Amino acid sequence: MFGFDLTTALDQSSLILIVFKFFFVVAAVLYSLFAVVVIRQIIIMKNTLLTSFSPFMLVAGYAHLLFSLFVVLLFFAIL
Amino acid sequence: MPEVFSSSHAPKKSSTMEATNELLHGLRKKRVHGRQGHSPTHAAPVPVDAPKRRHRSVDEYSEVMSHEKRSTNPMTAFVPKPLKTFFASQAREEEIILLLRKHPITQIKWIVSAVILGVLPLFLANFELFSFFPANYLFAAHLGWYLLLLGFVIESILSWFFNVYIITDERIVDVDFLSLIYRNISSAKIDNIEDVSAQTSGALRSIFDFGSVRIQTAAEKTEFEFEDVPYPNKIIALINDLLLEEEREKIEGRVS
Repeated sequence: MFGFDLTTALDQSSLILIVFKFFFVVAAVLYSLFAVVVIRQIIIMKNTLLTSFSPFMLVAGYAHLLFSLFVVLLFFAIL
Repeated sequence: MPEVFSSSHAPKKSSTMEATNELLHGLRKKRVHGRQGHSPTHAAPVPVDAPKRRHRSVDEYSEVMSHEKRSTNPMTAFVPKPLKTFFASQAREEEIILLLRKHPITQIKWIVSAVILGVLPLFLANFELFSFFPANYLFAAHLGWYLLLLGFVIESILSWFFNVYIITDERIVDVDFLSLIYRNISSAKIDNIEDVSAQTSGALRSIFDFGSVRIQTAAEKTEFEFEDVPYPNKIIALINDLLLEEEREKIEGRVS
């Protein structure tokens, strides 16, 4: 309608894709920072209320952080 | 002597009866002292060499708790006499009697949201709305979406698991984690409790037996609200038992 076809634009120039890649990587890095804050939060919570299940929560937090770092690397690799 | 006057035939008193009678006797004495204008400082001193009575366990004075078994599962909303559970600022002699969380049915909102958000990309894939993007970008978008969803689920579980209400033999504690970095712990001594009420409204609350317990105190925080906790009637009964026990401890001189 406006003489602009997104499919053609994406095929012809990778500039838009580079912008998208930047977006994805920045979002993944910010998410990793969030995962670090979650771990900090779990440690504070664990110190406030210690149950037999609290260590598993901490393990889940670290697994979450590792997964988010893996996603950052994956975005660098595949995009 | 007629048999009816013989003390050997008198019915044997149970320990609970004795404790209640002692309590009532103590309260009567206090009232008489009050009427006669005696100040509490003029009360008869407790002999120094009087035998120190032991601290009673909750099963001995609370009928509600005597029927509850020690819980080893920390992932429930009603955890009586929890094992291997401690909280910050817990005193050495202090014992956790009841640990409470919101009823699991109240968490259904975020669970349903997570399920819907989980199947949404699969549903949208049928419409091929973003088919003009290269396959690797679509994969990255899916991965990012599920990562955000994972973060939402983890936050929701953490919020439910660590927002607890604790009743110990000395006080009530309300632990709040409102956001990632905000923590609030309020507590009030059992002695400071003035009024306790329970509210169970709505069909869902009646079916699953959960509701809110409001506790008015004379402490700095004047009202504690245990929101959507299971078995509110049991909680009220326990708090009443604890109040009575505190009175007994004062009368018998077992106050530490």
